Amino acid sequence: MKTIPPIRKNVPAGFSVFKAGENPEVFLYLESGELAALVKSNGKDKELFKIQPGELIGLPSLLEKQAFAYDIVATKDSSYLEIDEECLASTLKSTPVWLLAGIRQINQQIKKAKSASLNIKSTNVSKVLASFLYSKAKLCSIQNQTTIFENYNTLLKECAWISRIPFQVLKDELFSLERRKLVFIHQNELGIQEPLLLQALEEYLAYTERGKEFPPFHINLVEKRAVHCISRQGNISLESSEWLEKLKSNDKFATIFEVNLLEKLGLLKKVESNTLTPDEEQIQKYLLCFEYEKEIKGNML
Amino acid sequence: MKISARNFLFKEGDKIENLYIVRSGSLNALRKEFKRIKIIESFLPGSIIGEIPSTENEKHLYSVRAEEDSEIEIIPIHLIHSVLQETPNWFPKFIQTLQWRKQNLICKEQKKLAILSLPAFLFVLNHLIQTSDENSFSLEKILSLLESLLSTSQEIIERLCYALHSIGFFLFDGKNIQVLKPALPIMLYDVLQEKAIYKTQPEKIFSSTSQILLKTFVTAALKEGTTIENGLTEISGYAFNQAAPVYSKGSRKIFQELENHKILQLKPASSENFNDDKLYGNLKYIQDLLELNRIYPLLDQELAKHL
Repeated sequence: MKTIPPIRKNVPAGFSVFKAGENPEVFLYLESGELAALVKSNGKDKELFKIQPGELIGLPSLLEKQAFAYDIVATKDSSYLEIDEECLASTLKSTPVWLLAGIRQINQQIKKAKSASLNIKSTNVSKVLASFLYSKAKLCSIQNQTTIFENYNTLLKECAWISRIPFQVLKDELFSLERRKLVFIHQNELGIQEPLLLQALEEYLAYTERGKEFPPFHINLVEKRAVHCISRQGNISLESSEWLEKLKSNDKFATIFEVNLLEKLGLLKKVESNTLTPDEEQIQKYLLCFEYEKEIKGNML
Repeated sequence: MKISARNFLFKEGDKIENLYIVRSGSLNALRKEFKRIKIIESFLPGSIIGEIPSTENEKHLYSVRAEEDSEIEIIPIHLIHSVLQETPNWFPKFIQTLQWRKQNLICKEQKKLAILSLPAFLFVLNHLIQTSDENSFSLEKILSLLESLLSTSQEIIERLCYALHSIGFFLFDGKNIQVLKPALPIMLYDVLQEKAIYKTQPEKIFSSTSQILLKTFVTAALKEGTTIENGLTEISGYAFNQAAPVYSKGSRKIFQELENHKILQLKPASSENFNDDKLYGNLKYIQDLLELNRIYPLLDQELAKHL
């Protein structure tokens, strides 16, 4: 296949090849001599870089139709090739298909890389807001007291700043949390009664995202009774067999399986090699999940 | 070449030796992130796998695994080079420049992503600092909390950690972050927030004159300060002047900015002589503020350089 040849140009030293702002839709391949890229600084030319034989300049002008950002001037007598769209297309046509596909792929990767920072936002707004509000509430919460933030707009602005999610999107989501009674809004105030409820929501959404079952919503009645039972025991350390006795005294169907499950779910934690003690925060979270299952799942209607 | 499902075509770190064209089946490019294997790209029939290396010994940046039985055509790199020799002299340079632009752009985007991730990163770090008694936190823990707030990657957060380490913000060994001044990440978060959200000059960032005064106060307080109640340290105007560089000898009015921000309190003596005055300040807080004022301008300059 015949290709369209590039245009060869010879220029003397000092010749201005292109001016900043021009968009000739070509790129140059320097065969001999030397070119320099210059910008105006305080009325004087400032050299940015030099172009040596065998180097290309101006690819964005042809590929992305971008104007030159600087002047290109010959600093020595030079000879260069000017490659325009027709010349490039005809050369590409004569290359093997796989090479063409490879070049196309690089171009797609360039486009993808250019939009990477736009994709930093999490798509799960509910999870972001739950996680953010949980952290904020956890830092200021006092046990058995509702945490009140004076102005939810201030909080949402901060959340928008760190998550890059637009303010209005977060505001809509906050009102959705209020409808589900996970937070309370009064005028500009935001109340969070149970920060753990927001952590539970965050975890539920993370499990759902991964296509996994959220453990608090997938335990049976005997297991639920076991959670309630250990929630009443206070801060005691017992061996597995002793915990089994406790569970059995509450529910005759309880077995060692329930003790093992409670440990696996982090509701009982090892303190010494043989003893287990209740993790109050984890238990509280499970109890809240039992009570607020509908609200967490969001299927209120 | 046929490759069975679940088998690897190549692994991350292997030398690039071939390009591959998918004839049938499907394959995924995988990379380990957040302790999980993440699919970063899928290849269907017609896709090209791999890149034309511009230098020798370039390595694959990800692994590729067949998701189903697949058929692959192999194009050895030496064949690519011999085909390129047949093209016009500018064409190999064109491909090389395209690859270079791609790498350069990815690198720039990663810098941008790391800078965009900084507020969320500080938010998570501050949460950990404020909810535990420790000063060392695993990157893994930070990543798992960060995952709920941003769609970023382990690679980007690692880069951010190394950059913050390079400006002395904390120590990072690739796995753990050791916070030396726990108040510093909290102060920096507040300062960045003030600037980004409220577009105001952050209150804790001082003029160079005030910074010199604070440094002088610290020097004098460490040498001759007396600790009094509420964590305050007292020094005399004389001790301050003794520690001060020639160009910043104390006079009452140069402390105005610091007094307005309640960083230093000046208690004038009955005489007009500054040497007889008393100066009060929270030494630890002032040291943290000075560190913040050292770090803050570096974020724009050094951080961008190290990322």
